[in-house]
Order: sequence, then C-alpha cells, then structure tokens
Amino acid sequence: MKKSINKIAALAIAMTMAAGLIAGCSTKNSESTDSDKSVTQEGSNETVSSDDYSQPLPEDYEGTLTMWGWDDPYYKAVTDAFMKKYPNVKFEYTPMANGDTLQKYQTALATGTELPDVAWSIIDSRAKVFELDMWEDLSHAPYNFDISEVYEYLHPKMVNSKGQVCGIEQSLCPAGIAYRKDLAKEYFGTDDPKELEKMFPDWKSFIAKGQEVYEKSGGTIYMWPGLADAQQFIREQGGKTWIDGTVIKVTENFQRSLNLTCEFRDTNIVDKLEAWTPAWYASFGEGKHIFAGCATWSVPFTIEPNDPEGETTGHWGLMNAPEGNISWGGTTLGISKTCKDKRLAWEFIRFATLSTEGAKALNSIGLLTSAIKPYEEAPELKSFKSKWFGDQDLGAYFLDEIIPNIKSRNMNLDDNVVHETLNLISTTLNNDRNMTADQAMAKLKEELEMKLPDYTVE
Amino acid sequence: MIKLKKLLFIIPLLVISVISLIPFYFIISMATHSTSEIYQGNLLMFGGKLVENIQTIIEGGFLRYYWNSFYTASISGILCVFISAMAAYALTIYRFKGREFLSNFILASMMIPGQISLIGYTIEMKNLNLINTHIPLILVWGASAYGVFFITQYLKNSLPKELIESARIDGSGEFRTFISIAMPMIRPAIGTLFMLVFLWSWNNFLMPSTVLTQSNKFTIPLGIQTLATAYTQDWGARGAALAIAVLPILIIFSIGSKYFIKGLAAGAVKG
Repeated sequence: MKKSINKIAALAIAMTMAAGLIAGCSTKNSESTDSDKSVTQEGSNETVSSDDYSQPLPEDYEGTLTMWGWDDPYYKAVTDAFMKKYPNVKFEYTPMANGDTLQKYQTALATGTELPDVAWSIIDSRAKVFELDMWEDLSHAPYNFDISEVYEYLHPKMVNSKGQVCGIEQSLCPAGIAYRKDLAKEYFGTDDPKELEKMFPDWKSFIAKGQEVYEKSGGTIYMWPGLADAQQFIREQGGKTWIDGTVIKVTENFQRSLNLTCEFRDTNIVDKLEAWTPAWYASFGEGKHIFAGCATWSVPFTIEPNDPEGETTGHWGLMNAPEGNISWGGTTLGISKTCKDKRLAWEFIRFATLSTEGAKALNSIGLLTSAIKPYEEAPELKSFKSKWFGDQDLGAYFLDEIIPNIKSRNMNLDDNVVHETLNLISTTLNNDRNMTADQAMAKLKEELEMKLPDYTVE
Repeated sequence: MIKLKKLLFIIPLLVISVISLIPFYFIISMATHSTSEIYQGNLLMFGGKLVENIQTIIEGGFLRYYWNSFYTASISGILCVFISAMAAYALTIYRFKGREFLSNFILASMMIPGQISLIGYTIEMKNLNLINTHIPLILVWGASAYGVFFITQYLKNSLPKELIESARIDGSGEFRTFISIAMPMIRPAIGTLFMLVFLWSWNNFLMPSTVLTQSNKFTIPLGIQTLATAYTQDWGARGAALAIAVLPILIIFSIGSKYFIKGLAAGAVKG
C-alpha cells in the first residue's frame, strides 16, 4: 500500500515538474510572440510612414538593433552618432572575436538560433561567410544600394559568388608602407616620401638599397621586420584572383613573391620576426626596422601603442610601396535575413557607411569612410593626422596617393586555406635558410594538393 | 647521508614546482603591465598598470561575467552531484530489469564527445525557449555519465549493503536512507565531483559561446575573449581577468584538496 502511495506521489511530483517546465516555456513563448508583435507593429508603422527605403526615417523612430562585433571604438563612434540623430533607437551589442565569425554564424544557422540584425564580416573569412544563406542582397529592392557609391577597389570584396552585395565596408583599409624618417634620413639621405618613392620604384631597388643598409649598419638595421609580412604584402600586389574555377593558379600568383622573399632572406635585408608576435609588435618602437606595411588601422593599433617615443618625435612617414599598394583588412556591415527591422538596419548601415555624418564619426577615430560622396560634401574628411607622423596628412595620402595604386582581386571560397599555407611556407623559409624558392613552390603545391584535393594546382 | 638523500628528493620537486608556478607568475605580472610593455617582453618585474587593467575589465562588464560564471558553476556542481549520486545509488543498491544495460549505456555514452551533441542540445534548448539563459549551461550537468560512473565506482566500495538493509529494517524510507546513510559515506566522492564539475563549468567556452548571444549573459571565458578589437588584443586586461578568474578555482581546491585527492584515489584505484 505504502509503495503504491509512494509511486503515485512520485508520478504526481514528476508531472508537476514537467507542467512547470512547459508552463515556463509557454510563458516565454507568449513573451516572445508579444515582442515579435511589437516589432512587427513598429515595422508596420514605419512601413505605412516610410515604405521608401531611399528616404530617411523620421527622427522619432523607435526600434532596437542587435549587432555582434569585435571593434568597440568603431561601434561606439558610429552608434553614438546615429543615436544623436535617432534618440529612440537602441542597440544591443555582443562582443565577439573576429576569428569566430564563421563558426558563430554557422552555428546560429544550424540550430535556428538568432542571428544579429546587423551582421559584420571580416575579410579573413568573408568569402565563406558571404556564401551562407543569411544575407539580404543590398543591391536589390528595397535597399537598391548602388555599389559605385563606394571606392572601386572595394567592390570585389563586398559581393559573394552570385554577385549579391552582402555588405558595405565599414571603412577604407588601403595599405602602403610606413617608414622611420630618422633611419631613412641616415641611410638614404632623405625622409621625403616622394623622393623615397622615386628611390624604390620596384622590389629590386629595395633589395639593392637594403644590402647597402646591411653593410653600413653592420647588420643591425633591417629594411622590414619579418619575411612573412613582406611576402604577404608582395603577393597581394598582384591583383589577380588566386582560384579560377577549379584551378589554383599558384605559379602565376606566387612564384614572384616567393623568389623575392628568398632574395630578401639571402641578402639579410629582412629581420626574422614572425608577424603578429610580441617581438614583431615591439619592433615598431625599437628603431631597427626602416619599413613596415601600413594600413589605415596600423596607425592607431600597431604603430602608436608600440612606439611611445614617436608621439613627440613624429619620426614616421607614409609612402607608396614599390610596385603598388594593397587592400589590407576590413569589415563589412550587412543585414541578416532574420533581421526584425530591416528598414531601421538599412538606415543605420547607410548612415554608418555612406553618409557624411557617419564619415565624420569615423574620422573622429582616425578611419576613412568607404563612400565617395562624403569627401565631396565635406573635403575636410579627407584629412587625418597622427602625432607619430608629424605634419604628414595621412588621410589625404591614403586617399590620393595610396588608393589609386591598389589592384584588388576577387575573393574565392578557399582563399583562406591558400593564405594559411603561404604563411606556413613563409615560416619554413624563415627557419630553413637553405630552402630555395623552387623548393618552397614545390612544397606549397604539395600542401595545397593535400588540403584542397578538389582543385587542380597549377 | 639522509640529508643528502632528502635534498636529492626535494630539489627536483622544487624545480618542477617552480616550472609549474612560472605561468601563474607571468599571468599576475601581465596584469600589471600595458599591452605594449608586455610586447617589450619584460615580465619578470611587476609594472604599474594594475589599476588601469582592472578598470578596463570592470568597465567591460567583468563583474557580471564573474557572477554569471560563479552561480552557473555552483548550481551545475550541486545538480550534477545530486542527480549522479541518486542514479549511482539506484544502480548500485537496487536490482532491477535492465540494470546492466543501463550501466553499460551510461558507460558507453561517456565515449561520445560533448561537441558532437552540441548542435542537437542547442536545438533542444532553442525549442524550449532557453537560449540566452543560463539554464542550458546548468542543465547539461544534470545528465553527466561521468558523474554517475564516478560515484557508482565509489559507492560499490564504500557503502556496505548491510547498512542499507539495517536502515530499512529500522523503518527508514528509501530517500531518507539515501540522504542520511549513503550520502555521508561518499562525502569525498561528492566533494571531488563537485570540484571537477565546478572547474569544467567555470572553464567551459564552447557551450556558452553557442547558447549565449547577449553580452550581459556571458561567462568569464567569453568575457575574456572580448577584450580585443579587430586588430589588437588587450593582453594587460586579459592578464588581470585571468588572474582574477583563477582565484575561485584556487580557493575551492585549497579548501577541498583533502577530499579531492581522497576521492580521486578511491575512484581510480578501487572498483
């Protein structure tokens, strides 16, 4: 008898617990439905008032946008400026590491959990991220974004393989080379960027001068901090797509950069530092390396924090790289298909990337908008300076001198595999000083054939 | 001669201890430097940026992440211990149809890596509307095969069945027998399992990164990762966050080390 009472009691408790759980869930369900409704209402309100996405939203518009990102200074600058215009708009920002972008979006798609309304995409994984079925095509209705509104070299980096525009670049990321003016004066007799550009029209002249520096300094001063970042710069100058259909064009794209890398190494003009390591960062303050790749973001993130003396001496300069400049880095803003208020998301993206107001917010943190029109409307936006670069107007130099010399290449799904393999080869070249360019090329092909068996490696 | 033998024994132990402690020293030293100072490589001496780094992590919401981690890890530990002990008790004391199969099934499920079931679990949690809550982080420990296995092994050797029989004869109900007789006898196993689950939950990155997308819900591992921008990492602030994050683990281990060693040794050797 007691046993059966116990059983009944246990069953009753179990049922109560299950009912509680289900009730909890259903409450949440109804909550989420309510919130969905309110969003829909907001959406429908604005649909009535402003169905035309080309027109600005009323300034008392209410809404909330979610965003996952990795650049707090950027986020704060543009959202603060946007909220000044639209005080009733709120943002829910979730910080995440940029290396996790692909995995986070894939997981959200696989599990059906929420994606951010405004989705970011970093260049490293962008080719794959843009292939995910999660993006609104901004070039089509209702957005009707005209890609010619932004600098031309960025166009291939904003579209997926179907030609859909999945995002707009947050800012320009052109890269030339930065140089130490004190060392340039000492070893080349000038610290003027134009004269230096004449002195280094190509990498051969760079190597020849580098040998002179090596001999004159007794091997204590180098032209560049490390082989890998030098190799990366040179291979990006080509402007040709790495993968054409099912063919990886290895010889065409990388033979020259590998040859030059080996020459750099064998003539001792480049130091042995691995890029992005503490020693590499520290090298910017040591005064042992004359040149380094320099994108817009390198100034606030790489040079300024690691060279405390540079603030007072202003001993850096910016110039065109021998044989042309590159596009280095970058993040796009796009709208996810699950975005709850696409009208507001578009208003924000348009503000952040295409408007003069957004460009001013970017300029305040030393970044240049990717849109062309703001520079016409407010020419002062072309200008930004850094104490580390003395009087040189970096903004104007990037826009007028660096960008016209950039050849941009189309993205491919497996670019990042090629990129990582090339970095591996660069490390091997750095460690094995006897490895020749031909051996490096053979190794590169072998690695790519193994990692990407579906492609023909040429 | 005896002193020399002792020295020969102590010196290697000291060397190993120093090697083990150096990373902790560097973490604490990192917490007192700025990122650029860390890049200069001088971590032997402490710097003067501790307050700044702590300010950075507090402004970044670290106290909330800390609390989130603390309470989810604590509840996870309690839940895991309680349910595992009940399941282990049932498998050890009762004789019922399918017991062997159930034991083997639990044992077999230990072989499946958690990462494989992550997507399925996340979908389940999403359907229960529990995404962006801490419940999925806790609930997952309610069905810990390792916990059941660990306590079963301990119970088999530490709980005389005669004691249970006596309790029953004296009129004790099953639940009371479990709570008043069985649980106190397996205290070291309970302490050990609690500490292990606390530690695993505290350090868990994958699960929170999958089920949490709102920063105010983040736990410490997610929070530490956010101390970076697109092009830089704030290593000083990360050092400070790591140094503070390690504290509860050290305290819990110091308090429970006696149980921990006892529990692990018993679980591992006997059985």
